[in-house]
Amino acid sequence: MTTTPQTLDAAPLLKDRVVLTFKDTEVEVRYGAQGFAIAVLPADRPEIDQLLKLLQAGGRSPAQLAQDCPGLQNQIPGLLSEFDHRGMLAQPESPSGLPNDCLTGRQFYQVLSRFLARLKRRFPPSPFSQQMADGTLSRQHLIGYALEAYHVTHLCPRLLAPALAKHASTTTRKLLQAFFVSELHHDRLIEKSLTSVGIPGAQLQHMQPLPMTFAVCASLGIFAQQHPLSFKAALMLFEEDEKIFYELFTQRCEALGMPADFYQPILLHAQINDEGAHDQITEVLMAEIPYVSLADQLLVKKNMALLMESMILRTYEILNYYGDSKNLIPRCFEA
Amino acid sequence: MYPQLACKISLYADRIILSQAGREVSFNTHAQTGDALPKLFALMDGSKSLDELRQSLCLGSALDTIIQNLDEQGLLKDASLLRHPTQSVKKLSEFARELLSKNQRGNNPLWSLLEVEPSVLPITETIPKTIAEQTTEQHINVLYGFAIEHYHLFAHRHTSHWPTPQSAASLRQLVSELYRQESTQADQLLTALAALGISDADIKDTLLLPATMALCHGLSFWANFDDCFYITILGALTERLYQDFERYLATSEAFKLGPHFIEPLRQLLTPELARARANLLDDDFQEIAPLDLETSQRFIGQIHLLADMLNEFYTAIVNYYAVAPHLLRRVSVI
Repeated sequence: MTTTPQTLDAAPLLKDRVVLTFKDTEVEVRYGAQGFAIAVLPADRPEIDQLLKLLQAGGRSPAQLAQDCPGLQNQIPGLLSEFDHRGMLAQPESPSGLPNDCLTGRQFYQVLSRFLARLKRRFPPSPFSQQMADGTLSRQHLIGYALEAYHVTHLCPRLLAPALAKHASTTTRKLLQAFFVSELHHDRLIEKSLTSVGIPGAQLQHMQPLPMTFAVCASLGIFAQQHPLSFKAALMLFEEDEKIFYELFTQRCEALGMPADFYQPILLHAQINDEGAHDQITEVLMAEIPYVSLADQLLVKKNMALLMESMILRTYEILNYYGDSKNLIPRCFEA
Repeated sequence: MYPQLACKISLYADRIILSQAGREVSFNTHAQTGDALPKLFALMDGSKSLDELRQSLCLGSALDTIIQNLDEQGLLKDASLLRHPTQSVKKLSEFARELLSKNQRGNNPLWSLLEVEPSVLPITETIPKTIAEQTTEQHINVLYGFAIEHYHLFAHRHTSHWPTPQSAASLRQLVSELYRQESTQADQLLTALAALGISDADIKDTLLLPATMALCHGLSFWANFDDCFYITILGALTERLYQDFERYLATSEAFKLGPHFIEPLRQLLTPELARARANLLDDDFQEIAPLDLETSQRFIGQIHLLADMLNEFYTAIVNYYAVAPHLLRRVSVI
């Protein structure tokens, strides 16, 4: 079966279950019993890879594809005809009458999880965890981590609150209210940690976060106020379960002889989130959403990709800033 | 409370008369308070708290009754506010202006890179990709990247609910005028980017840099949830951004980036915009009450944070675009 001509003209999209096998000099394309190979010159490799990724994502017209992969612009029409001829391109409309690209909240959660997993693989492992594992992370770094965690927990209720003011289904409203309550006063735990290493509560009130800590907090607050779907998606990045991280954290604190009063409250904070199944909050909230438009899918993906990048950059910022004794620690500025 | 007597005092054997603007209030004295009252009035100059007065005089509960009476008669001021230093929003706005300006004149790698004269990087068609040519390409990429990230920044600005109808009237007018003058900026940048073959659809599929997002969401956060701070820094930040944009434009012209790219950017900096910005900076923010010590300390800290964020915004532009294989960070290829 071949697709209608307008599929090709609009925005060709590879069907689900089209398998691409990337080899040294070719890319093998299979769909059921159908298959063919695209010969690839070394110089064309990056653009071929990009073209196929764009076809997997869809949403780009043949003219736009030619712009994205200028070195392949003469080959693109032939390639698209080949995909079309072999029935490998998706139909523009689904039988339900909904746009083909409209997903339920549950489906979008799966798509988003896969998207974030792909994105995460692009980044090297957390340097913070690595330095904890190889025993090079300093006491100052661990205190820096707690100082920045204080900002997140201290600001948290203010960041969540705007979401409560938005209209939502009864189930969603109840979930958000319960989540809000369960996140209250976590800053007291971190304050206790910091007091144990000589940083008094009064000082915490005057300190400023690092730019990326502030950025991730501000993003959550802005999503809560302006884009509830992004807010719900963002919670899974904030509440990701990190058992290995906390094991390494405890080991490193013990190895450095840090007081138990420093790391125990931080572990308790993690345990509260774990017991409250906070890492599943996004999945539960998304399941309440009937449909997600393509425009919203794209916006949420963008927002989450940036949030994830910012969280990763935040780790580097903590290592760089608190690893340099010349910097102001804690960040209590004066005129 | 730091009680401060706001009246004249006349002492008689059996009574005390306190007079204020032609009005007189008489207090009868008796054995318990006769000696203590003159002492109390002498101490009530705003320098001592209620607790300190209690410790200085043995008046017991009578002290609270006296204070309450004086307060009800309008004969007392609370000097608590005068005891603590206050900062005006105007002063903090000037501090923001100074810090953002100093910060940008520092060693930001963006300006170090762009300050190279294009004439020292000759491109000749006969020589295949020399180091000079590669360096020039790097500069041009950074200049294009600057426009892309500023598009995102300008498109995100003013997504707050400030000013609201409840905002101070004169400030609302000044900020609304600034917003009106800035309203076409994102469109002008989009026109400039179209000259590079970058369409509106491309931009929609593009990720801004995390440092740009930090600035966008940070400003939005302050505008929505800390509006007094936002208004404190708005003029200073706008001035800094436009002065930097002027510098950027001059560099783009020196690199001869092409009229279709440069002309829309020139239109972005109008005299009306400069006037709206200057009016906001010149305002004395009289409609905003002075800030207490704690708030002004917080604002000073947040101004430092803003300076860090602006610095990282420029650093991220040079770090990414100087080496990026593609100008656009597409979401669809993730």
